[in-house]
Amino acid sequence: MKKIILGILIFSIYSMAGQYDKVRISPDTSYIYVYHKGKAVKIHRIQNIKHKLVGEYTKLYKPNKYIQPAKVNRKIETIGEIELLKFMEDKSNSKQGIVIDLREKHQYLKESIPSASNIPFEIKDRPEKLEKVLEIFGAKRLSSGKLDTSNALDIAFYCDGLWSNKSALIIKKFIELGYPTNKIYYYRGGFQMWKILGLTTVSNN
Amino acid sequence: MRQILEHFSLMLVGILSIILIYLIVQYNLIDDEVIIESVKIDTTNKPEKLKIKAKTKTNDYLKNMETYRDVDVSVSKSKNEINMNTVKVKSEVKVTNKVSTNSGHKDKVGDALDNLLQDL
Repeated sequence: MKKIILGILIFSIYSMAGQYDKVRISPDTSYIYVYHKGKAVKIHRIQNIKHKLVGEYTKLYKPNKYIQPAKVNRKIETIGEIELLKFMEDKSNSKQGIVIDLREKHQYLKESIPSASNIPFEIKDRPEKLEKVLEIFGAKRLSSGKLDTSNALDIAFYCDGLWSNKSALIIKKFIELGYPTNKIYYYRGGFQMWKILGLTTVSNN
Repeated sequence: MRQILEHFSLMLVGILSIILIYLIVQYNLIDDEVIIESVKIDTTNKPEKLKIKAKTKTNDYLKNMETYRDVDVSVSKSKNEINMNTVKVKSEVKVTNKVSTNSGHKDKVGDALDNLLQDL
């Protein structure tokens, strides 16, 4: 009798311990914590194996949008979800880096990747705003016109998905303005791949 | 004393069993493969007429796709988005103007960006 009770106890504790172990991020990671707007958010995957994605990010066709190449520039590192999560843990959490969502403001307010801040793509045609954004990122424009980026943040850009060229165009703009290529990362999968993988999102409303 | 312990043990077993069933239901711990039976559809004996009709239909569909110039594809209203893994987070930065926070992790950069890009 005692053995049965002990067995059930151990099994129950084991079952309850791995709440996010069924659908893991990687073989040895079930979840990570990141800071979003000053609060810790646990990022994990949806544990319901029967869950199906519905809504905007399930569309396979977008008018006048084309599949983007993996590389936006030969010096810019393209990253996937695992690298982005590592970026969040190593850089965003320690305030050495920032994740930037280039989608429209209403899309960001509805749902975004945790730890991301929003810079709407429309900023591309607003040079005065772009200069201020560079300042916020820790880059200083010297009197010689050169950009001092010694204390600038690392940035990981993402937009709607594999078919959106917003990230590529903004990255190009940043390079033109003098932001160093080794401080820029391109998450090509974007919000669509994040959703497809069932990773945690945050509502910013 | 021994009787009380036995009763307590039995009660514990009962409660744990209920928790176990709840967890199985909640996290779908039973594999799909056990339930789903494979269904094979024989397509080799499809009538010729039907095959031709299907081909014509596909061609028409593709032609329509090429000339399609709508802004966006409409999403079925019956399929609303299910936010199964969405966390509602409100900025603490705005709150900190009035009340101090113990989190010690204010999002100054995010706040500065929000202020700067309000009109975009």
